[in-house]
Amino acid sequence: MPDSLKAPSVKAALARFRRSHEFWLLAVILVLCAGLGAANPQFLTMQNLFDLLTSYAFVGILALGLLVVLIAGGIDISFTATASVAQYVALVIANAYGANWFSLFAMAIGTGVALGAVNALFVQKLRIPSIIVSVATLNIFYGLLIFVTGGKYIYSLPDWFATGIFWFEFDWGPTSSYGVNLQILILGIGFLVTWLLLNRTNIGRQVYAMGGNPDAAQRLGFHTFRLNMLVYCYMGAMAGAASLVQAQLAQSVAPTVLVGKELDVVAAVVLGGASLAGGVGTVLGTFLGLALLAVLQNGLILLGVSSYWSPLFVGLVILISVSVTAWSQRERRARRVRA
Amino acid sequence: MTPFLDMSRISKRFGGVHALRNVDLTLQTGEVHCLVGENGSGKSTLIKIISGVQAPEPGGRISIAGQDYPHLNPVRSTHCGIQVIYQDLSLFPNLTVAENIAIGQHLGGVRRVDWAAMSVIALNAMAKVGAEFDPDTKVAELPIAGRQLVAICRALAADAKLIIMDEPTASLTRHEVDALIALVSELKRAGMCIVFVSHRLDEVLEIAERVTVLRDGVKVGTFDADTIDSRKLSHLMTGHAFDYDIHPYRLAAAPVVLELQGLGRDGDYEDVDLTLRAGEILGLTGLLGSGRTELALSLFGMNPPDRGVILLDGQPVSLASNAEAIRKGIAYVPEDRLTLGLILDQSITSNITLTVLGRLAGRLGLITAGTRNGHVTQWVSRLGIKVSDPENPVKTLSGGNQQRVVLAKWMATNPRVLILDSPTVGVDISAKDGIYDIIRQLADAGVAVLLISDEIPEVLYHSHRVLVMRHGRLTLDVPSSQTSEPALRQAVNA
Amino acid sequence: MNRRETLRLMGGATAMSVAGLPRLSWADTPKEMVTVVKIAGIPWFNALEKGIQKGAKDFSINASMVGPANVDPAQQVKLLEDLIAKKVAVIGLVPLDVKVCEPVLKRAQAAGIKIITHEGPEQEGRDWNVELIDSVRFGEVQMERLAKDMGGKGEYVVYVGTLTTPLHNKWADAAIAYQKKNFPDMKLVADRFPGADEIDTSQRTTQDVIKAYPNLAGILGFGSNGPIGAGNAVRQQRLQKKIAIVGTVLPSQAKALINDDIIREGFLWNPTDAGYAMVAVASLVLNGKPITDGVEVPGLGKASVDVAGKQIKVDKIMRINKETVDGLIAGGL
Repeated sequence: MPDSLKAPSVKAALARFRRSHEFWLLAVILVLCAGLGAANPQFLTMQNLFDLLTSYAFVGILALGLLVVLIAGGIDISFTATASVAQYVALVIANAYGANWFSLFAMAIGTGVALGAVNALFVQKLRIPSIIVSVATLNIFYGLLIFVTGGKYIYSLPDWFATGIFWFEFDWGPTSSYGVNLQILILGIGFLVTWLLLNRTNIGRQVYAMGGNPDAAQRLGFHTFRLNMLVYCYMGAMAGAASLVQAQLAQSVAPTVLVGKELDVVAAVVLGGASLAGGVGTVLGTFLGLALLAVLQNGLILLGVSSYWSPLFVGLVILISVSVTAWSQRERRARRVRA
Repeated sequence: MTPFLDMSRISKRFGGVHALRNVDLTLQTGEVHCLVGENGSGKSTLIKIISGVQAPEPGGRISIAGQDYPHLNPVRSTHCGIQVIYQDLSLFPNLTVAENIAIGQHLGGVRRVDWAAMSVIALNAMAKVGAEFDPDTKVAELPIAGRQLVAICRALAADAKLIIMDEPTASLTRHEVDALIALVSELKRAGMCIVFVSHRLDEVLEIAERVTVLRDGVKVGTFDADTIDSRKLSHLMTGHAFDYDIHPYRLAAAPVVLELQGLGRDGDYEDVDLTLRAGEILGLTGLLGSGRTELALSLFGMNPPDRGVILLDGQPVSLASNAEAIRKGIAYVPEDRLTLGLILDQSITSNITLTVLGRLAGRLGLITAGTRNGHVTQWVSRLGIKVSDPENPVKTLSGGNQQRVVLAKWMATNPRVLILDSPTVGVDISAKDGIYDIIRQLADAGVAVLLISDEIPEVLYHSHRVLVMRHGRLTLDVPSSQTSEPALRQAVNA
Repeated sequence: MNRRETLRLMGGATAMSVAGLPRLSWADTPKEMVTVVKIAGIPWFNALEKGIQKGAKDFSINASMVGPANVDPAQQVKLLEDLIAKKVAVIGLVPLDVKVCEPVLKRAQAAGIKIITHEGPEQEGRDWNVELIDSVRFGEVQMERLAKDMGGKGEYVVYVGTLTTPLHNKWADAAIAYQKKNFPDMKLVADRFPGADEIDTSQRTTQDVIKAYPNLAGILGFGSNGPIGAGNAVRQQRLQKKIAIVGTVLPSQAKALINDDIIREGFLWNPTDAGYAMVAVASLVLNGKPITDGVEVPGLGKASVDVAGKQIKVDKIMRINKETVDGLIAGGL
C-alpha cells in the first residue's frame, strides 16, 4: 500500500503548517508578545486581552467579510460606507420605533446585504472590475448617507443598546470587571461562522475554487453568479454586524468617522496571507494578521514609545513579518530546485 | 460491437464560416484515438460538440453507447461519461489534490463538506493511475506532470468512459511523456476510450491506434497508425510536404563570436566549453532541468556564472545584467514566450519597439510616431507577421505570429548572438516552418544562433552542430551530419 | 454643498421664478460671503452656521456655509476654487491644512476676494484670522483646571487630533509649558497621543495608557472626541475617582460624562459666536472700516488686534460644567 493511502498523519499536517504563512506570522506575534510581556507585565493580562478584542472587533469583523471576497477573487472596499449606512438606518429606526437585539441586528445586516447585492450585480452582470465598482459604490453609499442625514451624529441611543451585554462577568482587581461584551461576542460568532462557511460547506470550497481558477469553475458548472452574490452579500452582512459593534463601543453613531478606515481592514487581511489575486487566505491567517496589528499598536503604547515614532515601528514590523514569510518560501523553492 | 461514440454529418457554422462540414467520427471502447489538425482546422469545435458546450447544426447524428441524441449539453455529456482535460488542465491550484479530484462533491446546493469521503474518492482514483500524492497537498505544489495526473484522476473520479486530452504533452519532458503513454495504455486496457489532440506527430504515432486528420473543417480521413508516418501526416494536415534535410557543416572558417571556457554555476551546470561561430546554428538539447536554460540565462546576463570565462570576439566579458548583454549584442528569446517574452495586453508596436526605445529616440529623448511605425512596418514585413493593425494587442495574434513578434523584438537590436529557447513550443507545423525559415535567414546573414529545444528532430534538422547536456554537463558535441535521431535520443536519455 | 445649502438655493430659485421679479438694482444686491468649513454636517459646524446666518441678517451680507463630506483638504481646495469662479466678495475658511490651502487662497486674493479665516493663525493668504480665544491662554486655562483637580501633582497625558493639527498642538504646547512653570510636581509621562478626533481611537488609547502608566491621574484632551473616548474608558474601568479628565468637548455629547464627574470640566469657544464674528469682521472689511487694536466687533465687544500678524482676538472662552451644560445644550450646542 502506498504511503498516501494511510490516514493522513498529524505529522504531515504539522509539517504543512510549519511551511505556511500562518506559522511564520504566529512566530512573529509570539516573539513580539514575549518581548512586550517581558517589558511590561500589564501586556500579558486577561484585561489587556479583553481590551484588545473589544477595540479590534470592528476591524476584525470587517476583515472576515473582506477575506471571503478576496478568496473569491474579488475585492470590496465599500464596506465602511456600507457599515455607516447600516448603523444609521438600524439605530434611527430603533430610536423611532423601538427594537430589540434581534430586530436591530436584522436591520443592520439586512441593509448590509442589500448594499452588497448592489456591488455583486455590477461586478457580475456588467463585468466591471470589482475594485472600480466598490470605489464607486463607496462614494455613492456615503454620499447618499451624508446628503440625507446632513452628517448629523446620533448621541442618544436606546438604553438597552447603550448598556450592551456583559456575560460571564468576573471582577478584575478592585476597580474593574470583565466579561464577554457585545464586541467580543459578535467577533467570536463572526470567526466561527466564517470558518464554518469556508471550510465545512461545499459553498465555501466553491468560493475557494472560483477564486483559484474562475475559468475552470465555469467549465465545471459552478453557478458563479450565485457565488459572487453570496460573497458580496456576506461582506455586506459582516459590515452590518460590525457597524453595530462599533456604534455600541463609541456610544454614538457618527456617519463620518468610519469611511477612511478601509486600509486597516485590508492590511489585516492581506497581512494574514490572503492574496489580492484570489483563491488564497484563511480564517486563522486573518485572525493572526489582525492580532499582529492589534498587538503592535497596543504594545507600542505600553512600551511608552512616542506617538511620533509609532507609525515607523508599525511599518517596520509589517515589512519584517511579510519578509520572513517570503524568505522562507524562497528558501523552500530553492531547496526543491536543488533536490 | 457498438462503438462508444458514433457521430455523423456533424457541421457547425459561426456566422458565415464553416468551422466543421459533415464530419463523421467513430470512437471504439478501449481505443486510443488521435485527433490532429492545424490551428483552425476544427479540432476544438469538434471537442466542444462532443462535450456538449456547443450544439451542432441540425441534420447531424450523435450516438453514445448505442443511444441517439440530437445534441448534447455539458450535463448530459458528463453523465454519459465524457470528460475533457483541457490544455490548461482546469485545476484549482489553491485547493488540495483530494478536493480537485473529488470536485464533483462540491457542486450542488448548500451541504456540509465530507472531507473523509473526498479523501476516499481521491485515493481510489489515484490508485487506478498509480499516483502517490499526499491528498492534502495543494495542487500548486505539484510539478506539471503531477497536475496532469490529478486532472486524469478527476476524470476517472467522475466515471469517465471517454477522456479527451487536449495537447497533454505540451509541457512535459520526455520521461513524463513516456509515463503518460504507459498510463494511457493502462486505461485503454481497462476499457476506457482516450482521445489525444496533439501537435507532436511523433507522439501521436507512438500512442495512437487510429488517427483522424482534420483540415479546414473537413475530415481528411481516419487512418490506422501503423499505415502512416509523420511526414505523411504533416502532408495530410497542411496539404504541403515538409521535408527537412540535415544541414551540412561548412563553417569551420567563419570567425568565432562566442566562446565559453570552463563555465560553471553551482547547482546549475559545470565545465561548459563551447564555441559559436558567425552564421552557425548550434543546437542544444537535453532534458528539462539538465541546465540548458540556466546556461542560456547566464549568457544573457541573468544568472551570473560562478566560474569560467565568457569570450565575445575573443575578449573576456562579464555579463552582469541583461541590459549589458543586449548592449554587447546578445539577444534571448525565452522558452515561455507568453509570460517572459511579450507583454500580451500591449500593442504589437509597443512590443516590437520595447528593446530599441533608446535607439529610436530622437532629440530630447522623444520618439515620434513616424519613427516608431516605420520601424514596426519594416519588421512586420521582414518576418512576415500577419497583422491587421499593429496597434492591436499581441494576444490577438496566433501562436506562430506571437513568436515572430518576439523574434522581431530581439532582431531589432541587431544581435550578433541570438539565443532561442524552445522557439516552436505550441505552434503548428506551417508556423514552425516559417520560424525555421527565419532562423536560417538570420544565420545566413551572419548571426550566430544558439537553438535550444526538447525536440530532437528540431535540433537535428535545423542546426549545423548539436550539443547534448546532461546533469549540467555537455556530454556530446557533434556535427548534425554525423549523427541521427536515435543516437541523439540515446545521448539525451542515457 | 450640504443639504441645507442645496435646499436654500433651490428654495431661492423657486421664489424667484414664482415671483418673476428681477432684482431691483445691482447696488442693492448684498455682497456674498461663503465660508468653507472642515466638514459638513457635524454639530460643531451646524452651530457655526447658525452664527453665520445671524450675522448675515445683522450685517446684510449674503453669507452661507459649505464644507466637504470628508475631512479632506483636497476637497476644501475644490470648494475654494468653485468660490473663486463664482466671484464671491468674501471667503471664510476654517482650514484643514494651511499649506494645501495657501496657493488657492493667494489666487482668490489676486482676484480681489477678501479672506477671513478662523482657527487658522498660521494660514498664509488671508486678510484676517478671527479667534474667540487666545491659543496660549486656552491651553493655560485648561491646564490650570486639570492641575486644580490633580492637586498640582501627579502624572498626566495629552491627546491631540493628529500630531500635526496646528491648533491642537499649539494649545498642547502652551498647556505643557504652563505646567512646567507653575506645577513642577506634575509630570507629562508620554509624548502627546493622536486620535482625539475619533471616539473609538481615544477610547482604545486610554485603555492602553491606563495600563502603561498605572499612576496616571489626569488626561487633557484637545480634539472634540478625545475627552469622550477617554471618559468612556475611564468609566468602564471605574477609575473616575483616580483620573481627572479635562478638555475640549461639545456640551450635548459630554453631558452624561460631565454629570457623572468623569469629565471634570470642558472648554470651548462658542462656534455660533465664531460664525457670527467671521461675518462681523467681513462686514468691517467690506465697509472699509479701519481695524486696529481695541476695535469694537459688533455684538462681541472689544477685540485685541495684531495688525502685522493679521489676528483679531475676542476673549470668549466657554466653560462647560454641571452648571452651564444644560443651558448650552438648550442653545443648540
